[in-house]
Amino acid sequence: MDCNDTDSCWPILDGQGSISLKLRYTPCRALVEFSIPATPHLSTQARARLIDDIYSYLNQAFLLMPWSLAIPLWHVQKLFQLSAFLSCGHRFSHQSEAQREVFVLRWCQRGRPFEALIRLYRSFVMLLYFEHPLVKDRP
Amino acid sequence: MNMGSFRVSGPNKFECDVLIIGSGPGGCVTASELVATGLDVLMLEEGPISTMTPMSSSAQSLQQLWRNNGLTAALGGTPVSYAEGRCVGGGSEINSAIIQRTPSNLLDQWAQDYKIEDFGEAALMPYYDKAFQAIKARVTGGVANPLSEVMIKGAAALNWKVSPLERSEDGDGKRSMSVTLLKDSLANGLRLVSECRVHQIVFQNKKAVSVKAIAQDADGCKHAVTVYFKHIFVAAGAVQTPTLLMRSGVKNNVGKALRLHPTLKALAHFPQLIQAQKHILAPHAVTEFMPDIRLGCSVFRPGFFGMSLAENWQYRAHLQREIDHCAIYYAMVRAQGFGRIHSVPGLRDPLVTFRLTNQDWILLKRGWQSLAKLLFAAGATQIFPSISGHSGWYKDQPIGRDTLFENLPKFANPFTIHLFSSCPMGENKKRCATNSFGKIHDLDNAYIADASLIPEAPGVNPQATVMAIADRNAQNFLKIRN
Repeated sequence: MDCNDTDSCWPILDGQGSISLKLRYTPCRALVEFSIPATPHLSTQARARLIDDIYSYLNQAFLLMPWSLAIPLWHVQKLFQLSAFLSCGHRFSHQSEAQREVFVLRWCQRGRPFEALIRLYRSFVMLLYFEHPLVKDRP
Repeated sequence: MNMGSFRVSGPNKFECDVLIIGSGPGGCVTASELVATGLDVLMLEEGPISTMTPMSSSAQSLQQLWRNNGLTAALGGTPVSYAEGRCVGGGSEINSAIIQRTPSNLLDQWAQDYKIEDFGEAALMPYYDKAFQAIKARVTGGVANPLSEVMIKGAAALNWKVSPLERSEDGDGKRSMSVTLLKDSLANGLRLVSECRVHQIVFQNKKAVSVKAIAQDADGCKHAVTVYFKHIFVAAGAVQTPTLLMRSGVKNNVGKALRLHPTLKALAHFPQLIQAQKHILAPHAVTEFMPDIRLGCSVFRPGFFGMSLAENWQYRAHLQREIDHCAIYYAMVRAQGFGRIHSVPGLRDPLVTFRLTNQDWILLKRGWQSLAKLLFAAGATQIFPSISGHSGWYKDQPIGRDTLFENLPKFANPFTIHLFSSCPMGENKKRCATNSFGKIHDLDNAYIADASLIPEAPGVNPQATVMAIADRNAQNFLKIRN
């Protein structure tokens, strides 16, 4: 159910005294992969690098997210992972492209918090995608 | 950055005449006035010194200059995402550098409603003039680019008023605080510590005596910092100022009346080439419905275009290769609703809530309909409003009769970069956190100097008003002190 998460311990103290509680939130790599548009102009390795770059940026960004957003987001993401598993017996990261498309479409139709999860991922992914040297500098 | 700015390299204790927390427009104007009289002024800024260049990407800018990478939102019936600068120069480093005066009728109205002494258009005029001069604001609307031409053409067809905007920029780029007032103040003796976050102000017998802060050195190690001072100005912005004050035990009318300008965007597609990424911004706005509604053009960068597509990927994906034919416009309204800032013990970030009123939604709907009318009149073929699940409007389609638009509060995605009024000023102690000149009620030496003081939404970009009020209050401080 961890969707490629490697160290999703949450919440944790930030280790720098007790002035703040930092919420550790690990983004879902499969959702990043899903949100990147088709890239026929890129080789498999180049696309993998693009995914890596975007994922590591997102990791940093989500680490700094205020707790008032991190808590609902963490819950919605867990629900997303559970629903994805229940929908076809596979984790989201192990679903085929077509299965993911169908699931995400249905998920978004459930309303704001559900749709907001996908929108958040896609917004960051598209921001980074359009300004990534591999995409920006292509002829 | 000039000499005088530094980072700490170990635990530190500082002493100064005046401590300023925050280096945005309010803090910088205050510093500039006080340093000029020979006072020993120390400024603490939580964020880093910007190393951005015109070639830097939006992602880099979000990471370095924006609080929480831009991931901040006021929660409520409809969440409103907002942006705060978190760097040396504050909001002036991330805004679009549009400089406007608050309409005179609003200034006069606030003077009456909040019992603000020596306030109003006549009283503030010299300070506005000084602010405009300090950042060399000038009308850039003389040179219309294709983004402006869209608005000019649409407005002409509808017989609406369109106005050029004054911006603080010159040939070398934006005239933000870090290249104007702050640079001069550092040369005049201001000491600035960057990457230093204040987490508490210590009070004794109605007097602020010291602050406790955590500073980060160049290697990322954190050090405790204590600063002792005679006077303190809190200029950390409309969200962080009340958070810090509440965390320090100052609660009277603090953080209870946050106001903002909710803004709704729309991505427009045109048959002609617009090449918005070459021009980035339009130096014009449709001012026909001001101060309640302003229609304008959003900053356009490839990354922001991508974010706009992401809002409704299902219906916008086909525009990926149409970047040169697209532009993003907005409708910004002067909302009546207000929000609150809640400081939560033990947690760094506050909980921000905001509730738009029915009247605000009527204005937002009107704003969006007007924007669509304007863009279609200018030749747009399709418009995609930031409404979740919306498939867009076509030219000959009636605007705003669809179910999603009818239920806007459920589906709209508003945002704002203008926040204010969280600690309003005035002699009305039931409503105001400070007196008429920014001194916190019932405290002897603690002041506020940022957008928190603006009593209500001004309907225009607030930077000039923040600067004018900060200057006026700094002059008053010096007068009383002498």
